[in-house]
Amino acid sequence: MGAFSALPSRASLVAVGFGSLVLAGCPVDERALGERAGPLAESAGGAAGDDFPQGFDASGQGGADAAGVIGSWGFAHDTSGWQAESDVDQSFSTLDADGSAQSGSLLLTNTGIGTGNQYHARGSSVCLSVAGGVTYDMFAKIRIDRGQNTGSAGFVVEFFNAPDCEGLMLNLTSYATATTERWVLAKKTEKAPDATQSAQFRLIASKLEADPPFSARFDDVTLRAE
Amino acid sequence: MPRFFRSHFFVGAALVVASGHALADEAARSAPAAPPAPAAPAAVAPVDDPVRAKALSDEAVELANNGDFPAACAKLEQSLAAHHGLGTEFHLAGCWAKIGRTASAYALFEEVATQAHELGQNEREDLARQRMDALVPKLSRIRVDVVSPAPHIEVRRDDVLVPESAWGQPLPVDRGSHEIRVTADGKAPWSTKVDVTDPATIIAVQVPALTDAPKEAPPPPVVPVTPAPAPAPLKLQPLPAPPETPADGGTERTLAIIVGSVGVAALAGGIVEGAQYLDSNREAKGICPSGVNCTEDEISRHGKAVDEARNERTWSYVGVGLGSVAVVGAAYLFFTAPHPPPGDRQRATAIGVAPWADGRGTWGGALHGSF
Repeated sequence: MGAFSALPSRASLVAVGFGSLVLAGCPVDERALGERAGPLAESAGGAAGDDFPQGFDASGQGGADAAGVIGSWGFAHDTSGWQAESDVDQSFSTLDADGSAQSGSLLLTNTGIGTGNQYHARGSSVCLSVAGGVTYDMFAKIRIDRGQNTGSAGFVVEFFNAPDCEGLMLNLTSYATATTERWVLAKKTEKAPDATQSAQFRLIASKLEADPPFSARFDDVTLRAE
Repeated sequence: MPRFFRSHFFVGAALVVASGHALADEAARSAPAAPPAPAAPAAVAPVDDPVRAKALSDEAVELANNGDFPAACAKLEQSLAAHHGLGTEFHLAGCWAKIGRTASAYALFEEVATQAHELGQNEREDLARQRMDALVPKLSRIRVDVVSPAPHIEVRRDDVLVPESAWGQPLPVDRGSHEIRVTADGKAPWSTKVDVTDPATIIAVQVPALTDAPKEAPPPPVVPVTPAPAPAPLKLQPLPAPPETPADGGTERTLAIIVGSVGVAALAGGIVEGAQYLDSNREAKGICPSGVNCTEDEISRHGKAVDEARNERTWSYVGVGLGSVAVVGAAYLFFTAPHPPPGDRQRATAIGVAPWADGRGTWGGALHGSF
């Protein structure tokens, strides 16, 4: 059962998932993907910095310093370039994934409050120009502070068939972690659909609607073409 | 990657969370029941046809992939009309956003979010709300300010009622032309057109105090209406033969005028010849009046003058005689010809004779008239 079975307690676990949803024509149908280790297996025991792409932009403002790097953010001074969604507080944190005193990270707090017993992922995003048919590696270092209510953090990359992250969303892929008190390297690889022209890289913090705000930190976020 | 992953499915990671514990996994939940029919933007099809909807959606995605978003949006609307699908609505909202219908897209994303929430599809709800957030900076809005509300006033934008609670609020609108129309009891309606061409603009429309409606004319008295009698059937009768046109004497009068003209001319010629006869005869009498000891020249000139006088007298007799006969005959023809109808009388009788002279001893007359 992968990482799921390795955890000490199940009583308080809540699982929610992105289903595979038929978008058109047929009745809405969610494909049961089943439980699998997936990217968690890659990151569960990984330390920050492992398997991290070269060419990281130390300035933290994004860019494509190395071949294949579409965007890279180290959040050295601020969170510029990232657009917070509604019900999200976004700020710069001095806590850097590599412990650098000269850099920091992006702190997201999901502040959405409701009465439902559902998880809602809200976050911050940046839109990138990408090519269809290309396989991309996505990286982010994520940290969840202990002492919060139930929640998780991760990223979602959405592929669009028009520039500027407009038009039809052709596909998306995501990664999430609930590891606390340490930086986790999240990595995902996905091939963009052939008609892809842009991709939205979203950093998200997910929590139960009825719970108080939930925060997570992100650093060294990168999208790289293979 | 399977085709359904490429274009028709959202694929996502599950977020498995424990309070204070590390946990993550990818998973998916069982399918929820099919969503209820929403307030779809397209007309609801009388027959649910998922197969056709799927085909239309596939075509739409293909069109969008090739950059033809207007056509893609139309296909998606048709797909929704054939079968409601939350995913199709999500696609359509994105499509509308791409072609500038940002307000419609925003509303449809909100619809998707609401339905997904009701269905417990929180990931879809989040996706829809994220797309809404992305649209917010691009939304153009119209704010309607009602300065002096009249009783029972109604404000409509593009025939859709704008509730009083929304007055003064910048409401999202699609790009294009919009009509603001305001009506109230006893007031003249007021309207204006607003063209929204740029994204992220707010246009304020101030509704002035409505003027009183003009007094309407009292309605006409009610008159009991009796049905008109049915028209009598028409009887076809032969048309009466046209009356025979009575002879108006035109031919006779024409002939009379011609003969009369000739007679007048002959008479004039006879008179002239007569005058010349008298002159020649006087000349002849003046040559050797005694008749004694007349020279040969005088005898010769006298003879010529006498001959001229004879000829002139003869022509004078002919002219006067024939002219007189002709004039008399013409007069007879003219006055004995049948009379024209009264309306034609003036035209038929519009003739006359005018004398003329050129001051050099020549004189005559001219006949004129209309026939």
